[in-house]
Amino acid sequence: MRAAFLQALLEEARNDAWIMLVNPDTVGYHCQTFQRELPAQYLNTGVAEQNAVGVSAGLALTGRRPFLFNILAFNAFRCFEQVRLDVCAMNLGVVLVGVGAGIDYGAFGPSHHAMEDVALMRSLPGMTVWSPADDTVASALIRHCVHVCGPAYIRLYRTEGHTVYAAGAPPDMGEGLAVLRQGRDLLLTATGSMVRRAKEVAAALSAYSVDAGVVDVFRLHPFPGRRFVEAAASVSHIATLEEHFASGGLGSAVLEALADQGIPRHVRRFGLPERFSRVCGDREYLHGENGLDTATLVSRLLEDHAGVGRPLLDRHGLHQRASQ
Amino acid sequence: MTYEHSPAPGGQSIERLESKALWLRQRILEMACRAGVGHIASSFSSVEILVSLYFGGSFRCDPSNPNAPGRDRFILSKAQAALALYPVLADLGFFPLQELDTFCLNGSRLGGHAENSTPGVDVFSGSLGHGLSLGCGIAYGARLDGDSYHVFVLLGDGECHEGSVWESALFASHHRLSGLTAVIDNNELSACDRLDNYLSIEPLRQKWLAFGWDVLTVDGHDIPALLAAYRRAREEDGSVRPLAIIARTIKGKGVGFMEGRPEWHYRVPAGGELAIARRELRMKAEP
Repeated sequence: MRAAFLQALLEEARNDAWIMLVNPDTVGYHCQTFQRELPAQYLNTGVAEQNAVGVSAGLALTGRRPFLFNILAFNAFRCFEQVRLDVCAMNLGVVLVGVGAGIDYGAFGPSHHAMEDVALMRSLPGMTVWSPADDTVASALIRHCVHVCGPAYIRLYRTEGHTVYAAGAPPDMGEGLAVLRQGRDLLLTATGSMVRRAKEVAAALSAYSVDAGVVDVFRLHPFPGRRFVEAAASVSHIATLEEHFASGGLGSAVLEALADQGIPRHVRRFGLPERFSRVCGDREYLHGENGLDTATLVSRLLEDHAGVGRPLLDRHGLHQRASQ
Repeated sequence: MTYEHSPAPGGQSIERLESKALWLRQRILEMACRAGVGHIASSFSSVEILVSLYFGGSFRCDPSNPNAPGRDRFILSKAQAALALYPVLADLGFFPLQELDTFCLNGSRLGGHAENSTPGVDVFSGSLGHGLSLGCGIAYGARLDGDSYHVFVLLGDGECHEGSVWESALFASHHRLSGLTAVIDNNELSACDRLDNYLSIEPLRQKWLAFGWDVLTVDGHDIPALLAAYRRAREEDGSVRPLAIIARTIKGKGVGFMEGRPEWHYRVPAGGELAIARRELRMKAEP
């Protein structure tokens, strides 16, 4: 996803001298192609994130469109006030883009994990928060952000991705979400890396006669509430899946949209537990440790009797089957 | 009340600029007293710095076209001195003088810290340690564009406790941003105490030198000295370094009982104190 982002940005920047790639020395070796080809549009600010955001805002005040590329945790936390005041309070077109969403940096530890960044970023007036599921969306998003004014925060993964969309066939960025699979019983609402997981979970649930739909929310803020409620109109149960704390991100946005529009639904939120991950491991391992692997998600959804309306499992007689 | 512009701009003799500085102190006191809030002492500290910059002939701006691309930029990083900046901008014609009456009142756009929604204000301010980074970005962009406008940033010395100031100081010197000037209002006081009593920033001059800047130290209430420093900032003298002007000032300058006293960081005088302040600023006893 990192390579797809940089390639898309390079292609846009070749034809638009106002685009700049600003990098606080963290992921610079991945930027070498851009730097070699467009040196005047590349700026390594050094490991000084507060200044990097301020300088990017200053560049935006001269008419430029800076893409501030960093590890997400370092784009969001230390320099949050600069993002809040220098970028958002002036509504400047600075794009904060980073790799390392959730526990993407697995073994590097909590300093490199971005588990609460969406909660922060979607609290900022004027900020648009993006969370692409694959390279196709990431590339489309860069082309979209180049032409849209205002602050943006893009949540990428450093690991080269799994394919959700066919190359060259991204969803409409303006819609904010895409329905990937229709389902009668349950709507799996996912973002980023968990979209692929939601598709796996939906396939597994079908073996238990649970008809689960899948929605990819690639714009977390402003949350595409109207579109989401349309997608959820025919289901009684919703599950949200995200590589972020279960509070503050996608799950909260879904609850807010339902509550604001007076739509009662049984919602189950799946995300990272609200603790610092102290266990080393790669991303797949940590997904398992945190209950975000496919088997655990399927099991928890099958065992879920709580909520309003008809219990999902009794309706399908699955409890008996699962316990046999 | 009836507003009058400060003594007419024109030849800008030193006497005229000194009259303007007195006029500015009078407005600062009036506005703060009407609002019941305001950083009077911090604003008094910066009066000559602002008057010399805006009225001394070095700073290029056009009140009829506040966003003119070639204008010089001024960033009030020491944002609590907005109380001193607003009368300057109004006097220049960026907005009506009568609007000063609304300072910090319900519905006003003239808040305690300047925002870029106010004509003549280039950036949002209010939290310390932001302005120099913004100035760096603007100066870097100007150079990419081949523009010759100058970027001035006014910082407080207490503000120099912020680590982000030194991040941007490094950036400016590395990138040889000679179109950038930082003015440090060096009144040796912050919100609560003298800097030397709790976290000394000295030796300030050596710090800026060590970070790769040219440094001038001037009396920050001496208008001729400030004018010379601003001229030096704009000179094509071959230096590739940004310039730091350390302006040695007195917090609360102009009203004796406020001068050098930390408790006046945020106090507004009333009663007998106000009468004394008005007398020292050659104002009528009553508004």
